[in-house]
Amino acid sequence: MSVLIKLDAARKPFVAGGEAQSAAVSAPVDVNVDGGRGDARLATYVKKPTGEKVEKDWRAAGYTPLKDWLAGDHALPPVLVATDDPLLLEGNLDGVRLIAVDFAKFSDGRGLSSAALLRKRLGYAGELRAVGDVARDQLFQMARCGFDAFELRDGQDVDDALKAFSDYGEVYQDAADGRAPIFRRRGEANAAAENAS
Amino acid sequence: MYRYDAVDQRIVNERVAQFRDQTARFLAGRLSEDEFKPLRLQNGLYIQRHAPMLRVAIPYGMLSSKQLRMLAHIAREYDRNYAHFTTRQNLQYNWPALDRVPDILADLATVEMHAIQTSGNCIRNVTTDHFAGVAADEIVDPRPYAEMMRQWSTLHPEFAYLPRKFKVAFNGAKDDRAASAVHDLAFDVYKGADGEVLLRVKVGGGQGRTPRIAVTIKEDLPWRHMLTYTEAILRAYNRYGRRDNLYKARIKILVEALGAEKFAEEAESDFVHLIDGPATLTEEERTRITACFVDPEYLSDSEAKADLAPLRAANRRFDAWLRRNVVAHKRAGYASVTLSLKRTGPAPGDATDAEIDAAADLADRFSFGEARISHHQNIILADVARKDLFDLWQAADDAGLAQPNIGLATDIIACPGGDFCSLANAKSIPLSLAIQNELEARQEEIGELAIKISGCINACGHHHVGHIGVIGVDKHGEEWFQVLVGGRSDANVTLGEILGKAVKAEEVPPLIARLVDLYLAERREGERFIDTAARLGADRFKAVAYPDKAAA
Repeated sequence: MSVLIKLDAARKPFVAGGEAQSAAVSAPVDVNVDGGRGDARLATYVKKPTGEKVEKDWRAAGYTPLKDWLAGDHALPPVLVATDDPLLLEGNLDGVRLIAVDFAKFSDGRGLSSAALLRKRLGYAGELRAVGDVARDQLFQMARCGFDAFELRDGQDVDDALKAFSDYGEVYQDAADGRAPIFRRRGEANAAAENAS
Repeated sequence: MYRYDAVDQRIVNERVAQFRDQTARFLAGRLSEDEFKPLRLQNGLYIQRHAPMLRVAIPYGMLSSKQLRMLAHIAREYDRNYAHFTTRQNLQYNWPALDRVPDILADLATVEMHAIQTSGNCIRNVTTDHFAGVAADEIVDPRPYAEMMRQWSTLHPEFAYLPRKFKVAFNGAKDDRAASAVHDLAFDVYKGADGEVLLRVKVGGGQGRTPRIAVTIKEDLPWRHMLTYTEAILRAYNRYGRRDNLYKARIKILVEALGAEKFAEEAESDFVHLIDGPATLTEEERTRITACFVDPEYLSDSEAKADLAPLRAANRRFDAWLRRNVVAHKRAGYASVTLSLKRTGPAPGDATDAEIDAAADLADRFSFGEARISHHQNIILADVARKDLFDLWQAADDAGLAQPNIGLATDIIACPGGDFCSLANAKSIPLSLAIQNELEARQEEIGELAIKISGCINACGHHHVGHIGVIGVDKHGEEWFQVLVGGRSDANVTLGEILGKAVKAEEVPPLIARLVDLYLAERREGERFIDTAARLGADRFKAVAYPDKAAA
């Protein structure tokens, strides 16, 4: 299993399990290429075709697909893929301690809405774990949407990932991390921001 | 205008630090291009034909003179001494070096500016009427609502990876100058019988490959529910918008597929859970933000007014400028002035560092130190005392910003096109110059005419809503253009009709001249081009556009 990061009661991240792997590093981008610009590699970048779609073996990964879970197969915790409707779990959450939400691609934001609905609409209070294409630069957003556990994709630098949760000391809007919108606490937030600067 | 408090400044500073770190990790090979791409796009950084392009946000088009000077400074320090004002009230730099972009962002942050969400599949820069707060026909000043939306949408964690980009516009006037009907989400702001501010919610408008007029899904929404209703709309879009096809991913396709009624039901079903929740806006916050948009200390009408008749009679250029570039203000002693960025020669919307500095000086001298950018790619000085108009005209003329062409044939809207943009099929800039040259001599005779040019189907040049629209298409690797007639983006929004097959670039100016000839021959007293076009119908224009076909 890849590295699992969790948030403690104070929403501080810690490594909760899994094996640390060395972070993926490719050759540095030479900023002096192409007349002093660092974009030579960018400009020639062409997205590769993704090929045949392979169904993921969720049970091997430790989860039950939502459809089977709803049909009564509770041997493993449920996992929601992007097309699954989290509202189907309404009335079925008693005793559920772990729900996984899959990000097949980090750039597909459906799992963020699934998490927000589970937390805000259904009031789910157990562990909500992001799995799949889970990487450093999405962790802050995921945590705000209600995730409190993150199964990092292979090749991620764990120390870097732990830093992601403090990318921002302040936010504007309410999401699913318990913070009120800024306009309901502007006075105290301004005092804190002045101290931080 | 809105000024940052410590919270706003902290968030922008943290965004600079975050992007600096992301850029450093990319350059060090620790972040793949695949991963870096959406991150840089969410911060306005594209990779274009020649270099990265950085798009800077100008929230609802408002700028201070200090911010203008910083934009000029960045053009000098990091770019090639010019910048481009866009059709979304933003500004683009065409030649920044990738590894210096974090420094540009740090400079911007010192004047309360940023590049957050100026690109990417997220909620983009909020836009509104460039005459907001000063227009004589305004019902409600939309800027406080636009600012509350800006804050709520900035770095919203749930809507950072939408199916596609999402543009929000506000209109608070009788005449819709914000082109609100061609936005993914738009609000008309107005007052109910008891004086309460209400919102009309429109979704699914847009240009691009599938142009659509937004449909109203909610009337009379009290302003307090603006954010919760928006959250419901965005959640529906985030969950159900198509992600399998880039060209069918905008919310307009979802609204059309479900039907507006079904889409509204879906949004309402979520809204009932959010209504009166924590994101419900407070009177305290509205008061705090509205205080940033109060009137400046205007002179009394008698102090500000002037009899301009003798100067007009003595100076024909000043007279033409007054007629074209100066519009009425809500106060009789004041006027709003447009500084034209549509010189025959430079690309529409381009300005040099010296010109941007000059505009800042003019804003300081004549308009309380503030300026606006219009989606027509010009600079507006919104609050000029009428007694200062002649002095302003002379100073603007010295700076090369006083072309008396606002709303005329040479006030062309154009995207950067194939000279810069890697998406474009065709070059918009040389074509706009050729059209300017074709029509400049008789533009006064022609009167109001909005020509809008896009280099490709993505419609950054708003060709669907041009009185005359032009769009570049690719034919076997060659640049060709289609011409449309009859579009408009005002309160009577209409999409233009394509006249026929594409023609080569050199055939476009004479073709447009024939359309104009038909208008001049057929116009009735007081009719503008768009009025005559609506009355005659597109077929008459097709016949003159393609005379050989008509003869055959």
